[in-house]
Amino acid sequence: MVLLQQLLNGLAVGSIYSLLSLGFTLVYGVLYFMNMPHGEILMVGTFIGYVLYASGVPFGFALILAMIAAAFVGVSVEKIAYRRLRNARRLAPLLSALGVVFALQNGAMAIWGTEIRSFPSPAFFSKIFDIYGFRIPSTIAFILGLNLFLMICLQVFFKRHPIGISIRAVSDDIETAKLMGINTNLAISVTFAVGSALAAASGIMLAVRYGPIHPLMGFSLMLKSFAICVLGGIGNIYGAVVGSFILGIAEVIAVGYISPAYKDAIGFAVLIVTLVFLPTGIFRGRTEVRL
Amino acid sequence: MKTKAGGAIAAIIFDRGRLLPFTLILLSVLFPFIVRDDYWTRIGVLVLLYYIVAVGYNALLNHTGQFDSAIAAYFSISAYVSALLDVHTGWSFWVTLPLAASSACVIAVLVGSVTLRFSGDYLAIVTLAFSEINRLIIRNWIGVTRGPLGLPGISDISFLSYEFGLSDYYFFCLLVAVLAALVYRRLAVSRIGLGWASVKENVIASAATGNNVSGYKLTSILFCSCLVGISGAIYPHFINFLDPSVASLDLFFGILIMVILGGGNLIGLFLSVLIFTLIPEVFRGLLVYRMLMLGCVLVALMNIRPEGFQYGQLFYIKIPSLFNRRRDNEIETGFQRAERIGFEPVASIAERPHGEVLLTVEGLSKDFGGLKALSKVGLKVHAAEIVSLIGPNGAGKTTLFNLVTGLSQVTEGSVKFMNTEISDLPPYKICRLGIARTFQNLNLMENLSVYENVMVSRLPRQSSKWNGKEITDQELCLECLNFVGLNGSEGVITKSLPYGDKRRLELARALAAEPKLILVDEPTAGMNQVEVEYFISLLKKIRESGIGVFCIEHNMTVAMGISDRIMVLDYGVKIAEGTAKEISENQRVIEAYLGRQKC
Repeated sequence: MVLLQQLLNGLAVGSIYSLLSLGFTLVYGVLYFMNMPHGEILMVGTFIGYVLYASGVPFGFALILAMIAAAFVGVSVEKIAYRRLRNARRLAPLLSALGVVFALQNGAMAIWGTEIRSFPSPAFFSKIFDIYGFRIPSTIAFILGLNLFLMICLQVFFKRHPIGISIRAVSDDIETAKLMGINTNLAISVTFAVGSALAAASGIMLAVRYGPIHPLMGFSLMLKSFAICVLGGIGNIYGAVVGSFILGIAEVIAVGYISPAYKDAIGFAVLIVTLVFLPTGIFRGRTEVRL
Repeated sequence: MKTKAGGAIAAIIFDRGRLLPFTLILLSVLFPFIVRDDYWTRIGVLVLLYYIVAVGYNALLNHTGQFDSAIAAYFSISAYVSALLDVHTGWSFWVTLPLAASSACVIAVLVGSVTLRFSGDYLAIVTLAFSEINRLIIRNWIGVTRGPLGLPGISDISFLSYEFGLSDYYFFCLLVAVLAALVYRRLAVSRIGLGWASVKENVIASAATGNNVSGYKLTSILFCSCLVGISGAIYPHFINFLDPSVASLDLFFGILIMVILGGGNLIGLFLSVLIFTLIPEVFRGLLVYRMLMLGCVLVALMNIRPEGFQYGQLFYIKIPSLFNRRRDNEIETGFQRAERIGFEPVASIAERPHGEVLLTVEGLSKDFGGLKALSKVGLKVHAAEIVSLIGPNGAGKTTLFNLVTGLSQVTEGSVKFMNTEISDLPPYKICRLGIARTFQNLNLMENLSVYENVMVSRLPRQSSKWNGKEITDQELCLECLNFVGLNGSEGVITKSLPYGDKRRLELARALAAEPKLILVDEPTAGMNQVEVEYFISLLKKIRESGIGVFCIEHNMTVAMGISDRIMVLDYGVKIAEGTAKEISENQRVIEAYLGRQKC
């Protein structure tokens, strides 16, 4: 029973991670580079949600507004820091991204201060459902529900909506997509908007369920989401989701049975071991070139 | 006499390329006497410590192209070994320095050998993950490292009972930094430096010309971690204190910014280390706003100058180069030269005596997942003959080449080269045995000069000598370039060559490996008739010199015209073999190309 409870916890963590990693892997799929400020966008979104909720806006609205704000931040980051560097050498957007990370972290510190805050949990999240002795906290139920809802939305968006389809085209081959008359800039902007909104949702759920928020919370989460994406096969949406659940469950089990201090280390160790045996992640085959 | 010597020394110092380094070193030596201030001298020591790390990381990132992001881990491992030995054993720094630096090297090489097969972002994330694990271990292993409390009371470096003061640290670090820069300069122009550059430019080409890519990656990591380790070992003695913050990613990001903006040369590197150490110090009073500013400056800088500071252009500093690379549009292209010189008419192929058997392939199969790319192919190639491999698209021709040269793993069957089984060997060993190849999609080192591209083939065949003229065989390289008609273009950057010249450059590079057998993958694709005929004459000359030529060819006229024997592949199966005449009359071949006739 304890193990099942742990698994449930792991699923919740995995859900949160998958919202975060989806945005990361979407951007990688389209632009083929790691969006380092992804964690900072999560942080900004979470803080906006926190400020709104603390000033009396209902939780649902605060969540949605935070997602919109994060989307706005994400799109601006792409416009300011990446757009001109799309054809530059690979290290250039990386450095520019690092600049954005510094700017957002320290900007947040300048606005909200450096102290660690805790997200006030809405009253309805203190409820616990009890099904034959199996206890499901309503936060976890909400996280799983929200995750499922957003996944379905995303699936429909990518399969049915013209912009979703054009994003898939751009991620497949940006040059050809351009020649076929697809507005690649729009597709890339929308990718950033969607990814950032999901990151904000993920950050707020993380804050509500697990803990404190502070301006430096984003970076390690970004590292983790990068690890997840590589684990699942970077650029692959399903890979990101599967990788998130694997890491979420692994972390919860590690905290329960090994030591909470090494929680993050366990995640990275799983990543390294997996990659050594499966170099391109779960959702892509091994590479053929051996040197 | 005296004035002459003085003049010579002056000439050395005032050489345009050397003036700036000498000035910088001189200024650095004078610096503590000019400022006479402990605060600024301390910052000077920090600049030098960062510079030592940056020189190492420059070799790894800019020169070898390996995005290893665990340097904070190597630095902190060395720092902790050095500090712990000092606190617990009280050994002299001169004993602990090699121990600390070599522990960093051992860890770095271990991590490096596990991550050998990764490149790009995958390498970055795996090493970053390692770096984070290392940080967590240092922070949580309280029993040894005292965790966040840190290790206080680390003694100063002493030399024969003389204890280092601030300015001694400064001059010691300056000495190490200058030595590090000199060693790097020396390595950069040696064959190791060219090997590193070849790994960065094109791993496949480097391996296919007989270079041990893993070896180059590891030596680069070793060099980097050695410098990082030395800097890390000095650091705790200088600060007299050590806490887990040295293992944080801040150090890595700082060095990364310095190295990228350094633009790949040592002076640029020094200026960017200086700028990015000083700016945060100068604006310390602004608290979080200084990092906010730094962030904005980075974004702006990258938008304006995506290539980083090109100090090289500003101050006329040459990046170490074997041959002066020039971009010159006035150079005669190979095509023009071919037209001017004229070429031999294509002679009809008489029945030739076949030489010894070079390549024996038996029952060779290759599966890609469920797809059978090749099944049970058998063939022989002899010395001094041209064998063509033809077949429709997707027949498995390039796959066969990849299997023979070791770029792909054989599923089943055997590949023998002069009675040596080679199907399990890595590409570089196969090349060293005497099989060279060219690629269908060109694999050249685009940012190196034409001459350096050919030189890469000679690297594995050098005896290692520690003198200024390590890279020998210049005549052979020039001769190979001459042979394909690229003489005069030695110094040109490869990416500015026209397409046909690039194809012939690949041929020259393959020949420079002194192969017994050469595999040529669609050499005439995209060439015009003149270029094709020129290329054919080259292949024939190669055959006359006794080398076996195994050639994939789509152009039927070419294949029929030059081949002693032709093999036909279709859906991974060899369906025919014989002379041009036999092949052109073979019913199965006609079916494969034109489809079955409906009766």
